[in-house]
Formats: sequence, structure tokens, C-alpha cells
Amino acid sequence: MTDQEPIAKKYSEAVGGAAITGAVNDAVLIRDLPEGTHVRIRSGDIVEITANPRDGGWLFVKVLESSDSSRIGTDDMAFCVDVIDVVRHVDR
Amino acid sequence: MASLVRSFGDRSLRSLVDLDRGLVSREIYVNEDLYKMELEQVFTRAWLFIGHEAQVPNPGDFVVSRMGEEEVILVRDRKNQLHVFLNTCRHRGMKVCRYDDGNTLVFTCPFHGWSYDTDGRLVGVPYFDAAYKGDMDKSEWGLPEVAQMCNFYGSIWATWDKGAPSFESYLGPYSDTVRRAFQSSDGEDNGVELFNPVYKWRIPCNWKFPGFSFDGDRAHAAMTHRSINVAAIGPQGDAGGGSRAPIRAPFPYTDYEMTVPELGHGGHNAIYEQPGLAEYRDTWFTEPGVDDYYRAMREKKREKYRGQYIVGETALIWPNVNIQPHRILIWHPHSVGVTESWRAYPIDRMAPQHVKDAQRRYMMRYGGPCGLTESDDMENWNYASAASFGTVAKRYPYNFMMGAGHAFVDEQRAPGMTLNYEVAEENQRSRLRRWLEFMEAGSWEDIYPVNPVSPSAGEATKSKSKVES
Amino acid sequence: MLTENEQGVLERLLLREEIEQFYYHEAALLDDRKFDDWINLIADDIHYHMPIRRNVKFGEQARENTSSLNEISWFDEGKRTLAGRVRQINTGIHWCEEPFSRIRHLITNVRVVGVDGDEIRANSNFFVWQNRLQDEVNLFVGAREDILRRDEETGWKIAKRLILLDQNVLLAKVITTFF
Ligand code: FES
Ligand SMILES: [Fe+2]
Repeated sequence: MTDQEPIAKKYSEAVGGAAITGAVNDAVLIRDLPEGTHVRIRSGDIVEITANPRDGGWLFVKVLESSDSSRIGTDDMAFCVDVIDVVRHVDR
Repeated sequence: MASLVRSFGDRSLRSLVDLDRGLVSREIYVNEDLYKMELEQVFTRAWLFIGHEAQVPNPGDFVVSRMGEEEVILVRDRKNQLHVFLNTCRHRGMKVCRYDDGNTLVFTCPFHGWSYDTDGRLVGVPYFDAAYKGDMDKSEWGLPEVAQMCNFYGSIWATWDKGAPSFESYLGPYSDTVRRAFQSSDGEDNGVELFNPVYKWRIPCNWKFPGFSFDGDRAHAAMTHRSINVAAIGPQGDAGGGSRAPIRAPFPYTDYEMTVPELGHGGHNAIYEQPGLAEYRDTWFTEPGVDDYYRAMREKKREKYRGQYIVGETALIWPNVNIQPHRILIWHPHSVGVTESWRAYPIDRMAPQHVKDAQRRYMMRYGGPCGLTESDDMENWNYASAASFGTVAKRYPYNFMMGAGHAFVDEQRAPGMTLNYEVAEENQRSRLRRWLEFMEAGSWEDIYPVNPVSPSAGEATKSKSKVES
Repeated sequence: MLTENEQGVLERLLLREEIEQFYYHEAALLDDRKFDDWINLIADDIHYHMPIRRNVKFGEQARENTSSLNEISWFDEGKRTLAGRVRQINTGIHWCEEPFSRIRHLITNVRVVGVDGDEIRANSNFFVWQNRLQDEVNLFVGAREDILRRDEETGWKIAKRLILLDQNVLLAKVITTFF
């Protein structure tokens, strides 16, 4: 798990999470991220994984931090390419 | 009733099926255009068997099934509701589920990532805000769901036609037979589960070969299955000559072909000449302890049915499923000359493990593509089909004359049913009649409520002799 | 004079050679339709199991093959039924093998993976060709995991056979041969 972290960080720094399409941040493989993991998504929000369907495409998340305060505490779904970085790991 | 007379090529459908004389053109088993018509007229309209609720006991559980040529998903959503969805993404068609069964939170399409909740709603669309800019309403793009679904004592049925009558009306006089097939052997409703998984295999023949002949072609058994007794696959082993069927206690009855010609359903069934059920007779000589279970269950069931006349243990439910205690046989059209055969085995949910094991092993050696009995059916259907495609072959109609004009009714003991001698082709003629009606109908309004069919005059044919099915 | 190491290699080679020859002999019996002789290679307590292969999600491979404990398999039986199958074929009126199909068993990738007293565990792959009547063709490809037991009369008896057929929906209408 943790071996992904430096690559993901470096990658997201390099691309700035800006590009929308293409293989911009394939370094974060979300399929096996455990529930409770905190990730940063493209918008800059920090979200917690509440459920992982383990399809490699989507995460069910709760918003923890956001510049838009109305989003905090809401449930959302995050798509794989929008997951920029893992900010808190959870042991499985 | 405004029935359309449809034609195919330069012939009317009616000219292909002469029910009075029992002559049927081979065309309806081999013609590509008629087959395509069937997919529309029969398989998007009829109630079809999907599976059993016990296959998906928990929220998120799913299993793939099939309606006609097309794959569907039976799923229990997160609020515990069952659904049947077509397995195709609304975006560009990809299968959203390529697993045979499992448990899931969502069905995510591997093509562009559209994601559907277990209740069918489209919940995830990549780049939704940035790229669609609010132009698309996700609520209009859920998974295609059947028009009607019915949970009938645990068994799941569905139709693509919202004009179809209720499933119970569709079954008519056979609803009691289907209900009892999903009882445990003590007669408790919804008392079974299915062994996993379902057998699936391809038979090179038109789906109507198995579909129309099962529970309607007792005449085939003597010749087709001549070789089976040497294998002694029945629960009793070699005892009693190696019959593949379990031993039963004697009980006064007469076997008939029994059908509802208006609806197309029918089975090989017995009318008992006294009320109640026969007592249990031991038969599991090869599996210790199994008789003890079934004997105790039978006693409870006998108590329940004391004083009642029981009619009908098996039925071919139009168009393509045969329901028997311990066996469900489904024949999906795959192409005009190929059937995908599916087989499910119900078992008493509460049975002890050794009983489940014994029953399971018996079913595996009995039927399916590796069972000893049906292999010979499949050879016959395969090459009967193959030898019917020829230009000259098609000039010669199939013969369904057996017992034509000799059907009768017995409203007292078998209300709503038409009967014929135990070896007859009455049930197949019923299916062909219903086939014609479905193929000609513009909508369900043309075929339900049904037109009463009066059996042709003929003497009651009775026989006490037992013919193996 | 062989070193101990060379001696070990030689023994393993000889054992594998013996097992391969046994498998080729078995295949020839089946292909030559000497089913009674084939049944004689089967131990009385054989478990002959061909599971159904499921399409399962990554990580769920443990349930890819159906279990003999509580699930449905293509074959899951003992010698009594296998012998029944042979008797049925030998009636001459078992229509799906009358007339006989032309069946050829190609057995490859033989590995002896364990030795335990009288018994050895051996794995192999098969490619089975069936041609029936004029143009019906069925192909069966897969792997076998066997337990073979030394036997005075036949050299070896097959005490356990797990057959992994590489199909999901069975593409043949029926399986009439043995693997
Ligand atoms: S086809 Fe399913 S997302 Fe495009
Ligand atoms: Fe049959």
C-alpha cells in the first residue's frame, strides 16, 4: 500500500491534477483502498472512503475538507482519475 | 378478439401449423425469419423463468440469468428489493456485469465507467459536471428493467411486456402445480433453495425440440432411453432392475397427457383415484439415512393433503421451462439451430447435509450434459434438427397426429385441463396452438383473456399401465 | 558410479517416464474404446470430479471451481457410476455414442508433484478431440490433478482425479468420453 504513496505524490505534483483525460495519475490504484482511507480528489477536497465497490472505477466517499463548506459532511462518489493522492492510510 | 393473420414469406403462419390434422411444417423449426419473429413475439411477451430468491439471499447479491437470447441480472438491491435488469450499459452497450454471480455495491461498466446502483439507477458518470454540463438527466439512463416481475413462492419470473396478465393468471390451472414444485417435501410453501450453480450448455437444435417435447413426448422414452437401465443410476441402485426413477408405493392412479390448450402449458400427470398421497416407500438403498428424512417429510405432507385430490406434479410452462419437483429445465433460444439449455436443481432448504448430498449426486448423474439419461435426448434433438433444414426435407411436415381428436375433459377431477392417453402428442399440439397465437398477435390483448378451446370429441382413453417418462 | 544427486535425478526421471507411459496407455484404451480395460485402471474408491468453472471477480478465485461438498459439477462421482457409463456405452444403443465418435486424448505437461508411500500425485494437461458422424467436432482442453496408487496388476490405479475443463458454458451438447 505505502509503496504507492511516493509515486502518487510525485505524479500529482508533476501534473498538478490539472488534466482531465488521459493517463494522468494512474499511480493511484483505488481498487483495493480500504474503507476509512483519506484521499485528496481533483477539486482539492479531502474525502474519506466509506465504501469501495472494488471495481477500480469508483469510491463512495464522505467529504471531510473542502473550500466549499456546504460540501463538508456530504456523501459523494469519486471517479478513479479524480483521486490524486492518498493522504491517510488505513491498515487492512 | 382481433387476431392478425401474419404471414411469413408467401405463406400465412396458419398454413404452417395444421392442428386438426397434427401436421406442422419443419419451417417453424429451421427458418431464420421465423426465429427472429419468435424472439419478438414470444420471448419479449411471455412470462419467463429467471431464478429463485434463494440464489440472492443478501442485499447486493446478484446472479446472471437469461431471457430469450439476452442476458439479464437478478439482483437484490440494498433495500432488499429484487430486480431483473438487462445486462447492457445505457451508454454504449457494454455488459455491466461479466461475473456469473457475486455481491456488489454497484455495477460499473468497464468501458467508460458509468456506474449503476443495485436498484438500477445510474449513479456514477465520469466527467458528469465538466463534460455533460447539465445536459443529461441521469434518472433517465438507468439499467433497462423488466416490465413485470413476480416472486411466486420463491421462484422469480419476469416479462418485458407490461400488457401481460398477472403471472398467476398466465399459469391458469397450472398455478397449483408450480406452487407445489417450490414446496419442501413436507408440503411447506417456499421450502426450497437451488443448488449452485445452474448447468449451462449448448445443444445444436432449435429451442422447440426440447421446449415443446419435454412433458409432451412420452413416446420417445422407450426407444431413446433404452440403454439407461444398465447403468442403474436410480437411488435404489441395482434393486428393481436399475430403473432411473425412485421406487414409489402403489397408489391407484391413471396417467394422462394433461394440458391447458388455451395457455400452452401441459405435463405428463396422474389423476389419483383416491384422495391424499401415497405412503412413502423406501428407495435410497445406496445412501443411508436419506429414506428416514423423506419418510418423515412425506408423513407431514400426507397429513396436509388428507382428503384432497392432487392433480399435476410436473408442467411445461409455455414457452420454455419445465417445472418438476427437484428439477427445473429451461431452454433458451440461442440461434435458429442452437439452444442454450439451463438446468437448476431445487432442494429442501432445511434438509440435512447427507440428504442434500444424496439428492445432488442423483441429479448430477441423472440429467444435464453429463448425466446418463439426457445425453441420448440431445443426440436425437441435434440430428432431428440437422436433418430438417434441407430444401427437400422441408417439403415433409412433422407428424403430431398421435391422439389428435381423442382429447377429453374431466371437469370433476382435473378442472380446466384437457386430457389424452398417457402416450399422446396433445401437449405438443397445445404448445403449437399457443405458438401460433403468440406469433400472430399484435399485443397481449389479442391473446388474453384466452379463447376457450374445446377438446375434439373423442372417447375417454384410459390406461392403468405405467409408461416411463 | 552415480552420485547421490544423480541417483535422485534418475529416480525422478524414471518415475515420470513410468507415469507418462501409464497415461499414454490409459489414453490409448479410451481412444481404442476398450472401456472395460479402462475401468480396470480405476480404484474402487476413486473420486472423479470435474467442477464447473465460474466467472468470478478478481480476488474470489477460491470459488472459481465448484466444490464437491455442496455444489453442482459436470462430474462428481465414484466408480459405480463410471462403470455404469461404460455399461451404457457397451449396449450399442446409447445413441450419443452409436455409432462411436472418433476421440483422441493428447496428454501433455506431465509432472509428478508428490510421492507418499504407495501413492503419487501427478498433474497433466489434456487436449481431447471428438469428431462425430460427419462434421460434429468438440474440443476439450484442460488440466488434471491425480492421485495414482501402485497396483500389482495394472501398475497404477487412479485413486482421485480432478479435471479442470477450460470452459464455462459447456460448448458440447454432451460429454460422452472420460478424461
Ligand atoms: S458503454 Fe458503458 S460506460 Fe460507455
Ligand atoms: Fe428423454
